[in-house]
Amino acid sequence: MELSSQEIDAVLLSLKVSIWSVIFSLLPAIYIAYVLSRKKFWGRQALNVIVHIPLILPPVVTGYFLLILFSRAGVIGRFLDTYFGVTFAFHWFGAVLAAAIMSFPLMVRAFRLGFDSVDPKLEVAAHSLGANRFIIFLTITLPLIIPALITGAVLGFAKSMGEFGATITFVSNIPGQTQTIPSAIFEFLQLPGNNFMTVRLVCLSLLISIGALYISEVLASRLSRREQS
Amino acid sequence: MSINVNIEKTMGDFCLKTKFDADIGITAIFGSSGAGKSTLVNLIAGLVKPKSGHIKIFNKVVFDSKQKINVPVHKRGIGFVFQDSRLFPHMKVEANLKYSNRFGRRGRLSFFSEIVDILDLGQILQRYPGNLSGGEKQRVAIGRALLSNPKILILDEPLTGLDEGLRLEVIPYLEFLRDHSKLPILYISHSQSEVARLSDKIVVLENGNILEHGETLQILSSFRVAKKLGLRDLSSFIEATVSTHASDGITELDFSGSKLFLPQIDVPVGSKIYLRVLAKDVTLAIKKPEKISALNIIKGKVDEIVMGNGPGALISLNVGGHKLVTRITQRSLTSMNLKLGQTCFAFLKTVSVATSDIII
Repeated sequence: MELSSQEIDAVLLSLKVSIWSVIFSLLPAIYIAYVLSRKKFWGRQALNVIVHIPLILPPVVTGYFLLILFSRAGVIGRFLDTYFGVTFAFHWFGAVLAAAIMSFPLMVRAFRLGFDSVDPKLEVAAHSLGANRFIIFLTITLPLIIPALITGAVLGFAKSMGEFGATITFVSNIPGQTQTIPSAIFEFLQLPGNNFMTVRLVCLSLLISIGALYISEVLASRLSRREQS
Repeated sequence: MSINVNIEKTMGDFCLKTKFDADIGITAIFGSSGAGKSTLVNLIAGLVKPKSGHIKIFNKVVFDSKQKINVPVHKRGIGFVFQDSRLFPHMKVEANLKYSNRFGRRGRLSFFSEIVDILDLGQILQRYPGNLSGGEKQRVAIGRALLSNPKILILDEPLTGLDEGLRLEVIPYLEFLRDHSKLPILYISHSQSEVARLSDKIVVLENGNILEHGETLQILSSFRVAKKLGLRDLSSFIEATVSTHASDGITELDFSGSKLFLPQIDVPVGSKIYLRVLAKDVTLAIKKPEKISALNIIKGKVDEIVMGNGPGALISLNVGGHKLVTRITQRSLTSMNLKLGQTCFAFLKTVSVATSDIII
């Protein structure tokens, strides 16, 4: 019943990629969501569309763009490689980048719903008590959207765990390096006689996803119960 | 003067132009909805920028269009109590009260226990706002504003969302505030009885302009204001002192030398209460009527006569410095031959001072 080292690698890499993807996306997603929810400015719709592009494009196309921009020959990739020694293509960093970009719109959407639900009148009240805008954001707005933050982070995590198209296009499917659970399942399906391993990984990925969702629901309901008591 | 306002603001078709002073105590900003009350306080608080003019709070200029001074909201030192209390739902009552000290103006907490005592908040400090009653919420909001170390306080219709019972629960706290806080307080309201009971001075707004500005009780019974508010509700607001509870179920009150008789009121002897007397419920006579069933007979001098557009006329009596207004027909006016300065007697049936109009 023991997992093969290839399976263990895939599971660990998936977890690592998903967690980093959420961590990297968190602050920018909060910022963009806040701006989209609260600020009226020229180009707001354009920003909204740009954020959502990964959601509507075929993931392969997103992967292709990533390859063009971030491969060692790409515009940004060359710069990062020369000055920081960072390479994305065929490296697990690349999987994180692909997962982060694919899950970004989902996180922004969840956070934005949170910001929309916060009554700006509460912020005015805090303002009248002498707090400045930054303090108000930290002490009123952000704490009030914690349920949305949890939901968004879990959505981002789940999306990153499941990301396949952009990842395989951008960083390929190298066991131990860039092979996540979905790409491992894909590989096993290509070869005969791997049914058992396939089902095992499918079950594992189900378990992780449902587990994450469960934890987020528990956290969110505990929070709302605290405020009712 | 503690507050000095002289501002102009245009918003679409609406144009607000006001100039007034306010001092320690409660100054009511009174008017119907759309009169510009909220706009005015938003301008004073710094939530909206005036087009021109100036605002001074204790001689500190917080806005001046010529000098290009516009102090931001959080630095104006204005404590705000909103109609919808706006407590922070994720913080317990105690954290709400201490918010300003932690994150805002660094209000001193030396008054904390005092204010908790005055507003009776001790029992609810550890509760979340989600399960407080409307009255409790407003008390917390008042405490939170007071603890923010404000120079002035703005109460924006703090009782409007509350039902009658809760209103009576909160009013004594507001009176305490008025009498002991030494703060200039702007009290926004559209309720005549609230304003009559709580405020010393009043600014009556209409279409963004100040209609009247002065002593509350005088202005509320002035004909100019009455014409705008609707003559049907024209009333005198008089302050009377409870002198005796008689055994026949009648409470006797003193009103500047005259006696008033009301069906039993449940307040201790010696306490002051406000009565609202509708102008149409007052009848006039030249001589003191005898053998009449009405108990409340008040002697006064005619000091104003205004002819209405219809068949009615408004008469204002001076009763020992207080004002009592009545509404009679022009025909009666002619047949009685009433003149300015003439002494006459106003009488109102015991029942005509309806209990619901007694503002305690």
